[in-house]
Amino acid sequence: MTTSRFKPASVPISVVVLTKNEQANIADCLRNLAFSDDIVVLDSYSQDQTPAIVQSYKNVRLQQRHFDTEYKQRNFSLHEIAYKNPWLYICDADERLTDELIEEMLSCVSDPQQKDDAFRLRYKNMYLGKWIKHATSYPVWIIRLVKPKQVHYEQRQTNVHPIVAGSIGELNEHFIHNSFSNGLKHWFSKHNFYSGREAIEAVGVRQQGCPTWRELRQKDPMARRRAIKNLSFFLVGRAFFRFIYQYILQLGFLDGLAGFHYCAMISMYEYWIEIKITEQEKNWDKDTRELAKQSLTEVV
Amino acid sequence: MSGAAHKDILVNKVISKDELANGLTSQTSKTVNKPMIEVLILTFNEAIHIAETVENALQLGPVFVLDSASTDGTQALAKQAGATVVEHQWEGYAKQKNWGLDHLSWRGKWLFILDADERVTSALRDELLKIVASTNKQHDGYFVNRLMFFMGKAIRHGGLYPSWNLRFFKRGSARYEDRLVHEHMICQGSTGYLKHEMIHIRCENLSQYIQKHIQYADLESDQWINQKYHGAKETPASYLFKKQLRLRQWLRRRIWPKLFGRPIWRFAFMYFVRLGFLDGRVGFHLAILMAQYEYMIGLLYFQKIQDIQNSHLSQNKAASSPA
Repeated sequence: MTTSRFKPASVPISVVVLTKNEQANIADCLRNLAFSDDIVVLDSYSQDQTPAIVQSYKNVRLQQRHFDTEYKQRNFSLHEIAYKNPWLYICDADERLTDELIEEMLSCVSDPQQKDDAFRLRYKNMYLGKWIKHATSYPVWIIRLVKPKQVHYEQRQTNVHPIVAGSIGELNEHFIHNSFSNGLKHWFSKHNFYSGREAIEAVGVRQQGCPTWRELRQKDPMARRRAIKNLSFFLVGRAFFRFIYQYILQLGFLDGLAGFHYCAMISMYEYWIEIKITEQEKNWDKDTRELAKQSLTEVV
Repeated sequence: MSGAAHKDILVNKVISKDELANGLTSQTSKTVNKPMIEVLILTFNEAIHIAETVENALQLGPVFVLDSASTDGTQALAKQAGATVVEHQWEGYAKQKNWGLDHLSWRGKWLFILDADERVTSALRDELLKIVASTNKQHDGYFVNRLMFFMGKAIRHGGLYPSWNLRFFKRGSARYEDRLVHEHMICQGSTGYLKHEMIHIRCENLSQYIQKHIQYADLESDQWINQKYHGAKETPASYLFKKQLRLRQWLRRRIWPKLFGRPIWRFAFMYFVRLGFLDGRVGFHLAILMAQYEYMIGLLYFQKIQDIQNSHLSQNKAASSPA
């Protein structure tokens, strides 16, 4: 599965991979993408071996850009890089395409009947060598195959979604997502970072007020999901509810021990978001300094 | 304290000329047993704290800042505030502190070890100076209590207070045990407890605090792996503390890693047994964060065991397959 049996030159799909410090994954990832004749890695100045590894692949172009925010980086990858092909597949270093998926994509984009500007698909999350189906709320549809000029990313702190001008088709096949391929420590650090970003986003949302009933019942599923997410920023005890939702309502317990740990870790991430929102809104830092100063000047 | 024990602890010093110019000790410099206190502060990128810390520590006596190549101007700030700054490459908490104890040009008899985010209160300062000047029987080392300020509150429960650390001692009578993280000081000699406390100001934001937990969890799980596979020995608890604390350390280091459901136990212990709930919401958050820290250690430990077993499997496969 890691090396594709498809030969380049006949494929109208370019691929872009956004990276930062992905030395553990990038080589496998690039071998997996060998079906395409136009692979670009957009790297946020990794401090590890990632750029060197990428440069050792002759069929891959390396481009580097300083990471400012996720949506700017992603929009750059869509609009500022010249691709050889009309279609672009957006890939992460910890994701792998199955041969069936590649085959399906090729037949879709070469079909003269098709009118879509983007395709969405589902993925399988792996942990401890197993597909964590329920605990990851399968199926989640995400847009990965696009005509880059028809798409841009929304302006948000993190977890940005693409917005498509045109119609969206669906693919049947899956890609494989290995959340822990860089090790657990990396996962913790990454989610520590993401939770900080989510908290900044949440503080902004909370200042604007609770989403209205109408916003929650919009037709567009992306916009609806966003409204529900915004509502969740007003919830007390997100970590607890996320665990209940993921482990019990979504049947995460069917995934065994790996499912339990996955739910617990996601719930930990939700807790970090909530506590970081409080940190900012209550201005804990200022109180800490003032209290400490008082105790130093106290006369005993 | 006996002279023999003293000699055992002092290590041979090998020092270059450059280092001498840097304020390091020489073999010829004689120890002047003046009644004064010197302070050792370890730093790495502590620019936000260091000026205040040095200023505060100078009230005790001469201050040495042992810095591991900070990139944020810590060294210049420390010098400006009046400290002697020495740079030494980072080798781990315990090793770095022990290096400082062995190699800096100490002149007096008493040492106080301070972290960059800690301060000495005026009451503690007076108590320390009194002990040094006293002609009565002195202990060789003293435990200092520490009050933490975090999340906008003084934390007085949850097992985080009182927090006794051996920080004040006669030079040569104490060293850090060799452990990857959460190392303790071992004092060969008599120890006492100080009445007044120092304070610990945690100015870091939660992302930094959690990142520290991730870092420590990684090191702690490495320590467990070392003990399981490489026969690394923990310092016998009997060296570490006074009697009443030995049981606790034995439980923590020998029994605890084998227990099931550690995060829950950790939470229950902090929040209920050690009355963390009396600190209000902050007490709850601290107990949860601690339980998560425990959970991360467990997950990392499990992953590392699996990695080791997998690599053994593949090695065995490679060995048994025909060439």
